Amino acid sequence: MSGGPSRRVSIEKPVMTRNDEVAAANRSMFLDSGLFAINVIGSPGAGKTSLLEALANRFARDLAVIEGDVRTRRDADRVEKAGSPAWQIETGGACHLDAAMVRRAWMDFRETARGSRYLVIENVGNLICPSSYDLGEDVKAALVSLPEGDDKVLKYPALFSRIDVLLIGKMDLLNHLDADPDRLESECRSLRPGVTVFRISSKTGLGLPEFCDFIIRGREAKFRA
Amino acid sequence: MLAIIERALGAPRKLSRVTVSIGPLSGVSPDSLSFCFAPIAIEAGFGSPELVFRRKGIMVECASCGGVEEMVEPGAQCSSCGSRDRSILSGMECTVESVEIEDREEAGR
Ligand SMILES: Nc1nc2c(ncn2[C@@H]2O[C@H](COP(=O)(O)OP(=O)(O)OP(=O)(O)O)[C@@H](O)[C@H]2O)c(=O)[nH]1
Ligand SMILES: [Mg+2]
Ligand SMILES: [Zn+2]
Repeated sequence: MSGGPSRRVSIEKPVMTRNDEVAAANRSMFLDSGLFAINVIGSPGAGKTSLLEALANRFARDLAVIEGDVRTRRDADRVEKAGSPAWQIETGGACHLDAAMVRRAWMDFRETARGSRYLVIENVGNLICPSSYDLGEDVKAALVSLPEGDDKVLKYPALFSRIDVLLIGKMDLLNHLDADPDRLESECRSLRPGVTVFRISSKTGLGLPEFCDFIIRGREAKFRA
Repeated sequence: MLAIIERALGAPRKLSRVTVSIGPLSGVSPDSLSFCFAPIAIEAGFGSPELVFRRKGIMVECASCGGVEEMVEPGAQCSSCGSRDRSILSGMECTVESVEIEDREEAGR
């Protein structure tokens, strides 16, 4: 405002520095707890909780789930009913989870989740904001369901250029829709050549054994000494 | 973001400008960052600095021909060989580059 000369100070630090530091602390906490952690990101209604119910059926108490929603603990209740301990984070407005929220949640939850080998975190339904917040996970996964359309990847390149796993969901609806899973897959590979892709349906169970296998092998690789 | 600036400066200072470089794949929207930044900056004692964004491109390296170029459209193919198998070198960053401390505040210390 003064118009006079001002002193320029170079900073050169990522905006996410603080979150990344907490995420690194989470990562070593999960390592110490023997956990293999997955961060699942997808639009509202993509089928994230339905997938977690299916995983809870399969893994029972080997799986612990942290649910992120703006409000209600409905999703945590659904997962618990399906057989795995679950903890609900209500963000109260935030459209994403950050590393500090997950850290606090795990501190409160770890006694209940004692003995679990896999931790899956359901992020708040959103394809934008969750993409730049590292939570300390081993695997960042995006779930895109066919009814959302096959053009989503290049519309949200920040997310799809960072993920380790692409889950193409609601494959049981393939014949009722124009959406092409090959397009989702090839556009995702153009941003992220090494991505692992699963085509799944939580309704019919398609692709779930393969995805479960991937999780089991991922944990084995992490803790192979 | 203010915590990073405060850490670098040692304490909150009245700022005239904050320069942030931002890549298309950062996942950060300049509009929402500006919107959140203004009220928090005042409250934290940084004044009302102008927030300047320097937009970067997406740089990629082709796995087939080794060419390095800017990816103008996300997902576009290599301009030399047509391959889509390219790894991203930059474009995901969102970095606080520098701040300018207000002259008046400097003199008043
Ligand atoms: N046909 C079909 N429907 C599915 C599938 N998975 C989920 N659904 C349906 O999609 C709707 C949303 O599922 P949820 O699992 O609650 O979705 P979500 O992503 O957890 O939603 P939010 O937590 O609200 O963001 C429900 O009506 C599910 O029955 C699937 O594989 N096939
Ligand atoms: Mg849900
Ligand atoms: Zn090439």
